Amino acid sequence: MLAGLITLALTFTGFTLIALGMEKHHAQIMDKPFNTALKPVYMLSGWVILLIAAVPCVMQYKISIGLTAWFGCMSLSGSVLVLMLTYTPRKVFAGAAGAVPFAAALFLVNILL
Amino acid sequence: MKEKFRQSMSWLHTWSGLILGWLIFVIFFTGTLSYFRHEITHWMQPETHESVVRDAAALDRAVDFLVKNAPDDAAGWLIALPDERMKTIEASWRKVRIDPKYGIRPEITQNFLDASTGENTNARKTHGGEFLYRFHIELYGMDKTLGRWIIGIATMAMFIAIITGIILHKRIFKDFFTFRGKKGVRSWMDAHIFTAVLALPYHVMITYSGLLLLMMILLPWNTEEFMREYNEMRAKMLEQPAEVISPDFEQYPPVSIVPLIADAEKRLGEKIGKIYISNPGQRNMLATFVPVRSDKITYTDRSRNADANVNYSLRNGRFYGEMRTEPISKAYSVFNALSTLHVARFADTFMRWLFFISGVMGTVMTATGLIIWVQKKAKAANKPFGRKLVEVLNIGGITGLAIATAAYFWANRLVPAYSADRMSWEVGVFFTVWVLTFIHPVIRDRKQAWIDQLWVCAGMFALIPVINAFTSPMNLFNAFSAGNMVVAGFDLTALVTGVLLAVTAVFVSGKKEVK
Repeated sequence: MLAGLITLALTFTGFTLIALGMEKHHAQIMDKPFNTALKPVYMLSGWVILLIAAVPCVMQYKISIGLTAWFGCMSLSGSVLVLMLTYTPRKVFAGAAGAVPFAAALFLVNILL
Repeated sequence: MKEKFRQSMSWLHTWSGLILGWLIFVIFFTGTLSYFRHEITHWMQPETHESVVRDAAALDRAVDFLVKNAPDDAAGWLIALPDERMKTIEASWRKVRIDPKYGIRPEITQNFLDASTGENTNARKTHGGEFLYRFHIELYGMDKTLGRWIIGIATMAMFIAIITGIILHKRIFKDFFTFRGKKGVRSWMDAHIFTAVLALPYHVMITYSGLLLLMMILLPWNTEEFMREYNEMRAKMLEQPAEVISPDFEQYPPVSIVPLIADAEKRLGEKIGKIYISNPGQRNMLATFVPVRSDKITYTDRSRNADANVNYSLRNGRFYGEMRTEPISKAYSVFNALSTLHVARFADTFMRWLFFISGVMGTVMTATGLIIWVQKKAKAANKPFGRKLVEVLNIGGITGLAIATAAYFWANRLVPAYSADRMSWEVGVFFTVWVLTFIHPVIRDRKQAWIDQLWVCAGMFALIPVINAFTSPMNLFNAFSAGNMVVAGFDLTALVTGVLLAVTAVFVSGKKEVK
């Protein structure tokens, strides 16, 4: 359960970074103009976080079910991002930024318990 | 050449999606609900709602219950331990019936016992979630094989629609996060695409594995040898019916299963979920302990969902050894992996919700696909009768099915609990209401019909917690505090569904009519 929430949070952040690497969505999320030079940085960090997001689920559920959970988490957090981009685009950045400490806190709770 | 290819793909996508689109929607809708079929069944038996606290000693009383109540010719017993999905102890027996058409058929009688006292809750008879589950694999009221053929053909059409859809959608990554609201057909298209793309692995998996699960029916020639052996075995069984040896519990009283469970859990390192008891009341009375779930999707025995179990003599409690399923071929483990993913028996609560949400996305994808078709193609065709027909099918097929499902839950509580034919009443209400939802848009203006049905549907789902509060010892609030998360979850989900449908109704009312 906790592992699943960590994966959910991290996939949301990863997807948001990828969206930030796309001019169209960058304009929705941020006030600042799109800097083309940063595009590969957004994309790469987004993909890396998406991949890292698989780890908690794989640790909790073992490899086959863990990867299944990872895909499910991506479907859910991706949908949340798509709907937020349309209806509350200005909250996306705060959500994605907050998801990282949220995931870290859950991770600590998971270790301590 | 390239454009021609795209055109033909577009044609294929449209028509494979459309002709069986309503059926595909029905399969997605009822199939998605089937992830919670045990939970639905539990909700539909309010007599069991107070069974929350689990007491190990109650399991021995389940054995006593079976000793007293199971018929002499029961071939075996099953005791299913309560878990997060089922709050009661299931104590069932199985008789073997030889059916001239379908062969060897188990005839199962289920009883649900209170998990703390072991008393029979005398739960009302209902098809519960099983009805929705059965409907999504074999429809209803027709020959099962024919039903599965129809489902199989629809699944194939779905698979074609997925593949052509991927080819058609050139900008998968560019439009990955795109959804433009309030833009008419464009918005429906975006919704169709984002629910398709974001859950694409799920859609491919569920459709392809659905085909695999039906392969014995869809490719019958492959199974000739298997069928020949099966028919020979059946002929033998028909020739020499099993001799019934009456159980003698005086001479062979079963030992307590509670310490056996603890020992089995220690040996397997997993929680025990089910206990199968064979040869009850005989010298060789045997209990097989099966763990709850496995942690991988290959190499599992799909029907029991575990690849190891332990056996004990129920006459003296002696350990009879551990059974491991034999390693299986690569091909079979691929089949196992996909079919295990399809039915998702391994899923815990969190995973179950993820599967459910992906299923909802598939349901939305098919519904929006149907709506787009009507808005684009039917409008262009300019045939008033044809357009009215597909509109009626859309309204009755989409919102109508949701209303019929809500009506099924209502009927569960309004049909008297102990009337003899209540099970057929529940199903009868489901189909009657569904037929009515097809008649209503015939006589009503199309947009108004959508709005009417959305409101009816919203009201019926939102009131489910209310009707539950009046007809069950549990309501939304005390279910939470008592810890019955199944009933609380069902009520809450129904309420949220109702609210979302109401929002949709408001949204559709505000929209300009697409002429």
